Amino acid sequence: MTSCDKVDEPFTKQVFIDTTHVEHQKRVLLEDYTGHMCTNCPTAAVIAEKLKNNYGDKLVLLSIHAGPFANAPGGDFADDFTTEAGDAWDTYFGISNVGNPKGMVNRIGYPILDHILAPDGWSGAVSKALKESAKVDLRITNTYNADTRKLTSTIDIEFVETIDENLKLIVVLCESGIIAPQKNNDKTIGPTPIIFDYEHNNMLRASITTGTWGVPIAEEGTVNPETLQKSFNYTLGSAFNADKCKVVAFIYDTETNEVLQVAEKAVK
Amino acid sequence: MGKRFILICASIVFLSGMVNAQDLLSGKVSGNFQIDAQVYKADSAIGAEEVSEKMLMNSFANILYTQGSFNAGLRFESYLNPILGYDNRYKGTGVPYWFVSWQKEKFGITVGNFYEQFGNGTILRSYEERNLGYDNAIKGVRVVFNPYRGIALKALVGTQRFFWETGPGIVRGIDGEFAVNDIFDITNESIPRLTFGGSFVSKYETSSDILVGDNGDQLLILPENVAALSGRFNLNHKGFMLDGEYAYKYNDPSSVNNFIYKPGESLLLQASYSQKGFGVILSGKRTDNMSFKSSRTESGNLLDINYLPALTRQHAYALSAMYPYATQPNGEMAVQAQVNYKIKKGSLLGGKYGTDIAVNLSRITSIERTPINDSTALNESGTLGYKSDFFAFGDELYFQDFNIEIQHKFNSSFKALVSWVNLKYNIDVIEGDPGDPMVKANIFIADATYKFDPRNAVKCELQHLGTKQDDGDWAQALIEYTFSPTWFFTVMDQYNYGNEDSDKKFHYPTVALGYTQDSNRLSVSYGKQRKGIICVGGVCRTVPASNGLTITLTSSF
Repeated sequence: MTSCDKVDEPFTKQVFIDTTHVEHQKRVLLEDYTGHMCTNCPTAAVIAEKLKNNYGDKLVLLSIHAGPFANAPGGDFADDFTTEAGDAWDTYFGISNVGNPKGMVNRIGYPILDHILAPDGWSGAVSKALKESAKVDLRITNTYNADTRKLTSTIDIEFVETIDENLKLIVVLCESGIIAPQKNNDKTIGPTPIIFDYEHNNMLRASITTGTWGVPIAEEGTVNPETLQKSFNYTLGSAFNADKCKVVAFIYDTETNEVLQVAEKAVK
Repeated sequence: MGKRFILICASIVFLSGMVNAQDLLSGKVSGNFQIDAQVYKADSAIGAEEVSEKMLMNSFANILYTQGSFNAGLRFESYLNPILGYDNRYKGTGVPYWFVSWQKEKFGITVGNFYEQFGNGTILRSYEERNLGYDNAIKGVRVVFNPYRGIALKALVGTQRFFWETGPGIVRGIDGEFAVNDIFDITNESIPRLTFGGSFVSKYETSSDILVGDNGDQLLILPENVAALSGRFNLNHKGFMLDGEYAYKYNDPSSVNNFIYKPGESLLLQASYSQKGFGVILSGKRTDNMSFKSSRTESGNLLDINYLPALTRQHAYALSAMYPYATQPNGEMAVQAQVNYKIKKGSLLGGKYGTDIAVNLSRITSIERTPINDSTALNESGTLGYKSDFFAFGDELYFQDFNIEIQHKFNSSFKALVSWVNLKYNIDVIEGDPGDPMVKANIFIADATYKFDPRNAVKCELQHLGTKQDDGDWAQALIEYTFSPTWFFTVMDQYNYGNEDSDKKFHYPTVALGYTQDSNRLSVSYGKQRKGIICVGGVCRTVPASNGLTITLTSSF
């Protein structure tokens, strides 16, 4: 009847993150839904950064500004960091409705409400997702013309296993190093209540694929092509700093919404 | 929904055989129904967002079937879509609550969904509060066993409601309550009545990978079974009562406490005395790391296993309830004192009917927290967190409320109430607005009702909130005409005249009309509602600003 586990010190154990890579390495997408007026969000961003430090290129971070905390009422918070794609995903997955900060790891768990994860649940979900092997792989090649600000992003897709599902590819642009005010309630991260020179990273800036739900790349009932290549053109707006921009591409199953593979590559 | 309905019907048919073959149709069916619908208009000035559905609706219906010692029931709920301020994950329609229960001699058994409370609820309380959208019903099995007069034993196992699903943790609990006077058959009124009780609750949740530390590479060793114990007693004699409950929770690292391994403790003590025309209540409470949920990464009002009472007075008027206290499960020290006195009828101040005076004071501070050693920060994840002296009051004031309320009936047609509330509200901690100064407010209420005749009455309410912080001063006036028992009509306005920002001095007017017929009641109101918080017993929900029409229909049968 002693249904009680009493843990003795030490309460943690050192974990050694596996840094070995396999040929078709599974990579995981962690989406952090946030906003510059969300006081608890800097803490979540730190959690995401620590995971990125540990997992390196096996983890791709995307910070999506959407929901009421991303509004731009003016004054210190006049910047509008929302995007059409970010708003569409936020509405569809119901994330900001639950609150911020919240995120998704590979969009697993929809629609039974498991897909919305609090920051404390991100490390568990990421390590679990990385245990799987990649069924499809993708590689990004970017060419950028600084004068015309024209980016051509070529995505090479390779099917490692046969996937008989409807799949789509989404390609987006994100930018790091954006200095703008951010509300904060964690003194260990910065001043409260506002960090005026906060560095926003991995911020979703625009969708490179037209629309917000991507382009089809595989159809159920049709044989997967051996390899597939898709090219996209995008002209970077003048407000974007091309040196700090990245292209993030991911393939997802249109029925379950699960992200099967993701990759990121700097624009320059 | 279909499957469950068939299950209940089948259970009724099957079990009716056990209930001494009485006629199935001799049972009684009862229930109630409520629908709340709101039609929204965007109003960017007050912060009322555009609602794409235009109309949102919450509704529910309870149906209960009773026959002798057999009960079965269900609750149908529909949120299409949930009203603003209610969690959007409630979207949908279904039967999230159903149960079948029967009582045979010393045993009572319930299967399905049920609500339960052990003592004051400090280690287990599952309940629902529709105004808050709060529902942590347990789904499983509960057995009640009364082996002997004065002894009540309970045992339960189940999972908790999480919107239309159940949470990941399994909750098990046993409770025993012993009414000493009944056990020993002491009927002599001059001997005090003593009751004592004890409970044990344990939750099981599978472990998961949670990384902490500066480099995010320390994996927490998580306890899968977390247990809590509590003991309570109640002593009453003539007008005196003394009540106490102590609870202890073993290591429970969770999102709420930042994954620390310190055990949790709470102590609740209450003493009161009452006699005709006079009553005194004194209560004190300590809460230290007592959030107990059946999911370690959950936050907010979801999946709570226990309930920590707020030792504050629940205010009934809009302006005195503008800054309500939200219980801080990680730590608080609270004291409350209340005196009720009735000035006798016939005396100078008492008048013909007497005068009721209520004075109440509550004060809540943080607990004292000191680091466990020199190298560990306070509340650091994966450590014991902090040390805290059991009887010390912390330095931070969370809430202080001193209020006086006087009610007097002048004659058979006229009665009035006046009240003064002096409030100190730590908006930084309670609402999570870091940097905002403590709100200090003085609130005055005057409420008078005049009855023209037994059916027609008019009520007038004047309220004023004065503060230099947050949104500044508010004034509210309300007139309500009642044609008993059928109709009521209300006109009111809430005006933020004292707002520092002259563009934000908004009026929030509302008109409402209500109609009651037997056990049916329909009310329609139109107007603006300011952004606010509604709390019941220390558990709160935010109410977003809105502009539009609200329709409420309730019925019972």
